[in-house]
Amino acid sequence: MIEVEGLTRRFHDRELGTITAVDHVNFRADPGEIVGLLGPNGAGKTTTMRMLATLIAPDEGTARVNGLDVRQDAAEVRRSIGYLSASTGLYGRLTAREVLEYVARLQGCPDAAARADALVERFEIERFSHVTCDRLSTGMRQKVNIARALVHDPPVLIFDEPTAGLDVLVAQQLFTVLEEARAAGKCVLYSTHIMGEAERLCSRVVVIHGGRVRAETSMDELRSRAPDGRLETAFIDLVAGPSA
Amino acid sequence: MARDVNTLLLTVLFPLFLFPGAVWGMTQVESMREGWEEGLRPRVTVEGDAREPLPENVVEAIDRPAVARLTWRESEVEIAYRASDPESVIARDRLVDALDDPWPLEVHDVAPPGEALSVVVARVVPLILVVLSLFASMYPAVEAVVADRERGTQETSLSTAAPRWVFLAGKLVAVAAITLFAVSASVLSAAATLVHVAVLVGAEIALDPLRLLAIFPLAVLTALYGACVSLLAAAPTRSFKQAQNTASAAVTAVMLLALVGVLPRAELGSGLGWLPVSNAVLVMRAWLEGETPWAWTGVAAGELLLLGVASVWLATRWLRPGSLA
Repeated sequence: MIEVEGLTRRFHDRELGTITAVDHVNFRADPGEIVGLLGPNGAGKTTTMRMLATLIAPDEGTARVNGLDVRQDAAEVRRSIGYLSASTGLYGRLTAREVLEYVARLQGCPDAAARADALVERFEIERFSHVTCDRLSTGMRQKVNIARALVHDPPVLIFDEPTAGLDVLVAQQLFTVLEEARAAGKCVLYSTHIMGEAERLCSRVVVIHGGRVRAETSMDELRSRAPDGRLETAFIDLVAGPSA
Repeated sequence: MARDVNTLLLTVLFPLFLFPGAVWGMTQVESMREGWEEGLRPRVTVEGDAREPLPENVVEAIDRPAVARLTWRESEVEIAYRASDPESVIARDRLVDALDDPWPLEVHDVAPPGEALSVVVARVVPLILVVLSLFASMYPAVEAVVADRERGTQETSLSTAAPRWVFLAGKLVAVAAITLFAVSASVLSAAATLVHVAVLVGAEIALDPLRLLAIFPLAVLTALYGACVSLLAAAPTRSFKQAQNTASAAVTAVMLLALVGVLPRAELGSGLGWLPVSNAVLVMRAWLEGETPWAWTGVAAGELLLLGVASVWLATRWLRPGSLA
């Protein structure tokens, strides 16, 4: 599970001064559910997820992932999560299968080669598993990237706008993977600004804007806030107006 | 302008100050060299009955080894000197100036064949090793750090459970291996060319190949150090362009240190002996000149290792500022 309390991150900019990208954010995500982190561009979704993935340190607050503190047990947190974002890249000179084995080794999987083979089969990437990643299409690369995030079978998945640039077929495959993960009792934090994706996948949502949580509720409750019952309308009502 | 202050500093201001600074430095070095030559009183052994007083700035050797020999004969004067020894050459020039008229002079270089060339090689080879190490490591280091970040692969690696230093160590091994390979290939190619040219012009090089082997461990350490410096320079940068600029500045600074080691008066054991990189150049030079400076070799190796480890430690911290280890 993921527990976030008072999580804050500030950045210093020479011209803009101090910017609070994430401002005392609180939320939780439990095993067996997909929680959507919704917000417009620049809302603080990516910064929040990067703090949970220990890629950046919080300035204030605490976050626990799978019961582990992101500050105290950073390496163990990373072992517990599968992190995927639009900017996580693949080594162009490695083949798809080599990438999977390489990451499995870094994650400390006891039988990295067998694990890589299993994922090649599960994600149906046998056809291009021996092709170097720089020769793969965007969709193929993202398939390998999704497999890469799951290579060590982590209990928590943190996916940051993973459908960016994907065609509908690969996006559908991703949704299937996430639904299987939920069924397997994994905790999934899924960030997007595409309402349709959130409606399909998420049982609960955290709406974030200007670095602050505007709502943490169930999908049904959020929809019911809108006069027309549409998620998009409820979302726009929440994020309209000044960001801070 | 403030938006790209690093580019401004490294591509505009740095070259603006580099060249005047380098010329000023070279002028200072030349003036030091002239001062040294003027103040020098080379010791000369005199044989036979002197018929002219020796120049004032040449001292007759009594109980100290001489750098030249002056022999008076019936109808001529013979001067023996070593072309491989700068002090001996100065003694020769002063004796020639003082005695050329009216005495007929016979001037002989008594250095063993190839010694003069071997002295030049002993000075140039260590400098080439350092310069090649730095240049060979610069682009692989920039590629390993900044391109890794720009492609997003760094984020992929850093989101795994492996500690940060493992990635830096991996990059260091790769960059050092490339550097060593490039330096070895360049040195082999240069040596083959040098030998070929020497054979063609009939020159000899009195350099023991075992001496080249003796400096090999220090050359490896120098290459490793070059890789560490390049990684350190690339680690905190945000773009390929910025990394190139920073690494070029770092490489130039280290190269200047290496150049200090080939200055005429730079000797092991002097204050320069404690200057990193200059020290390594001096130690390699001493080995190639036939000395066996074990203690200073240890000092140079220790300095390179210490600075290399410090560079990697800093680079690990700068690789992803703000990330958790």
